[in-house]
Amino acid sequence: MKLSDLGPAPGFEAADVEGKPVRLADYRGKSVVLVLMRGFS
Amino acid sequence: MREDHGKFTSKGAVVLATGPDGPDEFRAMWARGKFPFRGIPDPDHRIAKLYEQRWRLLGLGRQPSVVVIDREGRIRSRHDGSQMWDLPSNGDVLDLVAAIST
Repeated sequence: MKLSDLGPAPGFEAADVEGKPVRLADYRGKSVVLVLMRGFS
Repeated sequence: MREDHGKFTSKGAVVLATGPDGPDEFRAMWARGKFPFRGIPDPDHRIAKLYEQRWRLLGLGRQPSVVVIDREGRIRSRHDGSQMWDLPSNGDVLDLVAAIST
């Protein structure tokens, strides 16, 4: 992986696995590793 | 990612994992795997579309990606794989996290 600047990360708001709200904006000030998985099956 | 989660948090990073499965499937998987990071069901593909996650040929599901976002909310690196096993190693991702955290 190379370090670059690919622009602003699209914000999102969703519910997590426990049903709790999660917003990307809540993590401003922290680094975020977002894993986009292919699915469990 | 599960095994090295503490290394990510020690660098001030948050791991979020999203996928196309629904809440029930996510709950079951998270209960089985005891994943220490947040899982985000995305069955309507909203997050996948926002991040332009690629689809496999013939519509056979999504291709996995890792996106590293810095503290200002900018994407600083991205890797698109064809399978989960060809995603970058935790060590490579940790190096990036360390580089953008200084």
